[in-house]
Amino acid sequence: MTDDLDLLRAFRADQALPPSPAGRAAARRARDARIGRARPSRARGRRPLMAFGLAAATAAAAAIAITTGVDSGRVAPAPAAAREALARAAQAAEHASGYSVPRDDQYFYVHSEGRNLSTAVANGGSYSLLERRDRRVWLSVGHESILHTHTVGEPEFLTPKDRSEAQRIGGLSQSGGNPPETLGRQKWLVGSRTFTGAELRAYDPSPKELYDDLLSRVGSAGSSPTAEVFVLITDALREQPATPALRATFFRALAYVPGLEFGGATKDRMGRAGVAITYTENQTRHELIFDPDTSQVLSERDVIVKPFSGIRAKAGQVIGDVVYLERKVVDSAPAQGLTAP
Amino acid sequence: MAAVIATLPLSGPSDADVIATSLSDPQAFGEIFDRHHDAIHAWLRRRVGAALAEELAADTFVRAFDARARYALLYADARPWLYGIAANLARRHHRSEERRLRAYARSGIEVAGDPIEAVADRVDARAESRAIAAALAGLKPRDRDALLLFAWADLSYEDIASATGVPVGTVRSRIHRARAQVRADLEMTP
Repeated sequence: MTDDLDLLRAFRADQALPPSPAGRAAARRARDARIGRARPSRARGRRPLMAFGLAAATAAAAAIAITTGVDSGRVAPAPAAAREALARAAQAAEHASGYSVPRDDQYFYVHSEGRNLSTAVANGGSYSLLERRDRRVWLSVGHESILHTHTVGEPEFLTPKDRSEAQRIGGLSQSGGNPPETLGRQKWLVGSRTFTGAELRAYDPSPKELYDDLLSRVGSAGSSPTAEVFVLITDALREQPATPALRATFFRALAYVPGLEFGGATKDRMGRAGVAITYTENQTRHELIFDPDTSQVLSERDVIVKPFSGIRAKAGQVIGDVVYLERKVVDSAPAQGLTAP
Repeated sequence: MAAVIATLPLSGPSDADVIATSLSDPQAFGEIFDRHHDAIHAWLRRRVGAALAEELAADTFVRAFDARARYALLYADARPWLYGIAANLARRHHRSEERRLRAYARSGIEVAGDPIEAVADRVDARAESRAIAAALAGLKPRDRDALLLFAWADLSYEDIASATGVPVGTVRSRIHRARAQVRADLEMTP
């Protein structure tokens, strides 16, 4: 029997047509006119973007082996060292205190500091710089969530050439602090699945079930399905609450990601010791740095594997990082009279 | 993780990656237009007719471009965001949309005024289609938005919540209410 949705979907289906060539051309002109007037703006993402940072050429970065992962076409199961580190972290996660899913009237608070790469293109030249931003977010399903970010310190140019280009081209401005934003009431996310607090507390897939579920839902997102699964799991570890058991599952599920590599012992930008697992795509190695004895995710870092056009960065250069300073469940957020957007 | 790199030759960046890139390289935003303009246009055309659809689809991407710094990069797929902008624009024309639907409900003749197609010849005598048109015309604009984002744009409840800025529970109730009205109108059709 045909139901109302079938009829509705058929209704005017013959009119769901692309624009005429003239209409599309007019739309492009409108878009191009607006783009032509635009000035480069600074990223202000709500997601703690993997901050692209200047390769201060730290000893820590140098200690991490360059890996090739899937970028070279070689796809292999995670090596034993990576699996062992993830298993240790998973075991620690099962017993870690301080991790829980907040009640609906509570907040999940995360404080981090990242370095974002911005590239300005204008007047026949370009320059790239890193902007350090402090980020504090209070996420709640029952209250307005709050995001507060502000710039920390001076921008760091990738190279002296970038600094001179910035002086020549101009347009450099410090974005400073943004007024606190309201983000609405959140849905807890694991991949594309959304959860209430109660649902998230009850969510208990096996590591393989979680991996398979994420892989089945990635669609065309990401540079490859497995790369997207890596991103989704790291997303879940970054700014989403989870039960101790689910956090353990995240670590164990990472071991199923083909192309995952072990980066060895390292330190984050704050000098905290951990180990890195890495995934390489698009000429960039993404590193997740965690303490296997506590399961705490300390940092994420991106390193260029092969030079690419567009920015003046050499292979091995750290082009971004974010350090996680605090995660906890709290009872209140500094609303300060904010109204919903 | 989204790369905020202007000219990185990515093979398959997500919409969020492209939008992040466009913050420093505005030209990159053209990729978002190329990916989604036709679909947005088709959805608008179905709702408001050919002439207005072209104007609103173009306006959707201009507004999206202006608002890209506020895009929540958590969401790899920009379609809900774009449909949300398009729905807001279409809502300003809800009275003409309703007039058009009611005219069709009465006569079975599309009066959208498409100069290219002989739409007046496409008399759809199916009573249920006319009943659907009557039901859609009678919906509250926000209920109609939710239902048509679900049925015609294939967005999930969660995506519609993101597109329209309301909790997913509200989306569920809006779609439930709208479908109930459509079903009621169908049952009333002789």
